[in-house]
Amino acid sequence: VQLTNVSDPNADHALMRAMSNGDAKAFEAIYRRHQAPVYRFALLRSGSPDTAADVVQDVFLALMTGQLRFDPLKGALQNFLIGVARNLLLKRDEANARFVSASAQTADGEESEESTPDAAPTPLERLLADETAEQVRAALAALAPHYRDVAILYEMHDLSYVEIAQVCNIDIGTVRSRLARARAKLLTLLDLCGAADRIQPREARS
Amino acid sequence: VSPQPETGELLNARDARRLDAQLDHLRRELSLVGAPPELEARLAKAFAAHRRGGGGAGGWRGRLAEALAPGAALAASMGLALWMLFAPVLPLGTSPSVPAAALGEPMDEQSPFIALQSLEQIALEPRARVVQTTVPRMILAAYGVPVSPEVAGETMRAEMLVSANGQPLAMRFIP
Repeated sequence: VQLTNVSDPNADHALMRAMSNGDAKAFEAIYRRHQAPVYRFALLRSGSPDTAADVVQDVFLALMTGQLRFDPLKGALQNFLIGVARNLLLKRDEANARFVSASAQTADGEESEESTPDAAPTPLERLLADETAEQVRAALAALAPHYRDVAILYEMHDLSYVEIAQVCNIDIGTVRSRLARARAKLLTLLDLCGAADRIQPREARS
Repeated sequence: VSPQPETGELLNARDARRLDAQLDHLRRELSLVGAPPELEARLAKAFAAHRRGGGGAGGWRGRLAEALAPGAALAASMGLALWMLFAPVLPLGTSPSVPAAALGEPMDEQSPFIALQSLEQIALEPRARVVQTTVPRMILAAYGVPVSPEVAGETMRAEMLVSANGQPLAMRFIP
């Protein structure tokens, strides 16, 4: 299953230039090409459709008003927009942390591998009708943010290690180790809820 | 094609396939998901407002706020109310009547107050008072003021006009 839109960098570059010259159709085209991946990332990252919609709005608002400096030489527009969305979500996390006493730090100073998911069902949980998909979504949400980001970008957006390293501003070795740990943790969490045993293994992605 | 994760030391091949099978369920489900349809119309309207702007009186920022209202303004007001429940406030005094600034007139050299409730409700409030607090900078975006994503999570000082029972009535940002 390929989730991420195939993005033509040249087309994006031309559309960006047209948008900066006031072409409303160009903005519309950019939005339609990239809104879904940005929304999906924000949705999985935040667990809230409302937050995801707010983030998409903020990202494209910043893009249209020229607040974002996109350099096509540094990567694809879609990855850049997802990176902006991630930064916005991180800022929200920091703001929310003022009101939440739960800490992601364990006693020995290491970062926990799990976050604390809300006990109550979220709107997103009602959004996903497929039971297994929902369990995977919940398992992703239970990962610590630094593992969750890497797992979402690799597994749901098909970004390469290099692209993930750019979006998350970490080195490739860290991407590799976080992804390996995230996948192992995901399977553990899914085994705990019994989903893994109901799924027949398939052939690996080529 | 993205390279496969090097999971050898943590997941064996069978477990990796089991996990991939489950991840496919989420991929399929998410392939049907996108931003709410109404968002595109709101952003198109905001883009048009931005293009019409050009820095004149009122400017594109106000029109941008208008394009995004009422949803964003309502959300911001609710957010402010929640913020007020938690943020430390420093009473600056009480006012027997509504300050002129609350109705949009500039006070001192600072920005004008933005009404969060109807002007009628503000005018009828017998013991409104002004308190100083901090608010998320992101709130500015709801009012059409550009906010850099880099600083969106930071806070800024603001003065709020609140009713006797603590309900936010109006606010202004302190540069």
